[in-house]
Amino acid sequence: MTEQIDIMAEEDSFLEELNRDAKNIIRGIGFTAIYIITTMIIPYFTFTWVKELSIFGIVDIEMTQSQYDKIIFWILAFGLIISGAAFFSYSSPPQSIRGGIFALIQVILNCFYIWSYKFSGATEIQFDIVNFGFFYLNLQQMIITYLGIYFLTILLKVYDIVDFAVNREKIREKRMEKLRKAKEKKMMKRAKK
Amino acid sequence: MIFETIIVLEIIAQIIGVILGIIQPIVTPIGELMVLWVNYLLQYFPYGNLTLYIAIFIILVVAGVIINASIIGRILKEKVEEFEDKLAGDEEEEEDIEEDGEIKNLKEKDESVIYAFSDSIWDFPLFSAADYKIAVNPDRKLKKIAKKNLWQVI
Repeated sequence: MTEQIDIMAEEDSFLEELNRDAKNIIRGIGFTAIYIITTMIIPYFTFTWVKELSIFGIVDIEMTQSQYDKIIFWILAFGLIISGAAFFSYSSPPQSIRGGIFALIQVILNCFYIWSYKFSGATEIQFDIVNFGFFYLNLQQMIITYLGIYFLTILLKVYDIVDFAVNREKIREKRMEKLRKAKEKKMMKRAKK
Repeated sequence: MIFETIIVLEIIAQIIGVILGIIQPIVTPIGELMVLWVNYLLQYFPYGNLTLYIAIFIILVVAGVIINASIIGRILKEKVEEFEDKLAGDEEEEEDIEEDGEIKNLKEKDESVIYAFSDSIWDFPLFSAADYKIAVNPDRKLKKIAKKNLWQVI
């Protein structure tokens, strides 16, 4: 009887752990898919579309074949690493140090990714207005401002890592407490049955 | 309605403009500094061959699965602990204690819910018979087992 209970408890514990792991991995896969779509697929199709528009002379974004190849390469390259880092970060337990470290890596990689947009020529756009003239939009300055704001995100991520490291025991205890309560609830339900 | 929406959008744009205007003198130099190191490091990223980036992606995903699936981690940890115990010549006492049948039969005698409180690994048979296990100021081995089995530790 007791052996059976022990085996059942062990099986329960195993299933719970498996369930928790599966949830983390599924969350990781979900976010990887989101990052693949937003950092690779959408920009890829956008730049391909913009290039086609510029060929037909609809908009005046000068994008040579070499620029197109370059931006597509960097989008795919950084998109792949960002998506990989996102998988690692989001499949880690919440508030874990390794999750924090990979979130920081992801933010830093995002800086490279954003800055690589300048290779497309899409950061310097000239708009021609018929019978009026033209105006020149320098988005590079906007990206610099954005990177400056992004620096604050880096600081926040560093703070998160320090926080997770300092309060490691507390976070772990809270996590264990939560799991224990869920387990107790389950056992109570079983006992009532 | 459309006119009102345009006014709202204009107000939002003005607010964003004011905020950007205030933070720009601080943020732009930081952005320029960011651009400096990004440009510096960007030259070390290989260009023209995606294989390396695909490899990094695969490594990150595989590493993520291995490290974050705690089942694998637990198995590895247990293996390492077993190996360490073997090296130290420390025999597993818990199993011997578990074999003790005297207290194990408690559950068969009484169907009511049993709470067990203890501070020592020597009360392990009592814990295995109880429904709720609470380790009070536990010794090293009991603490280890309590953490592993998610028992309450006070």
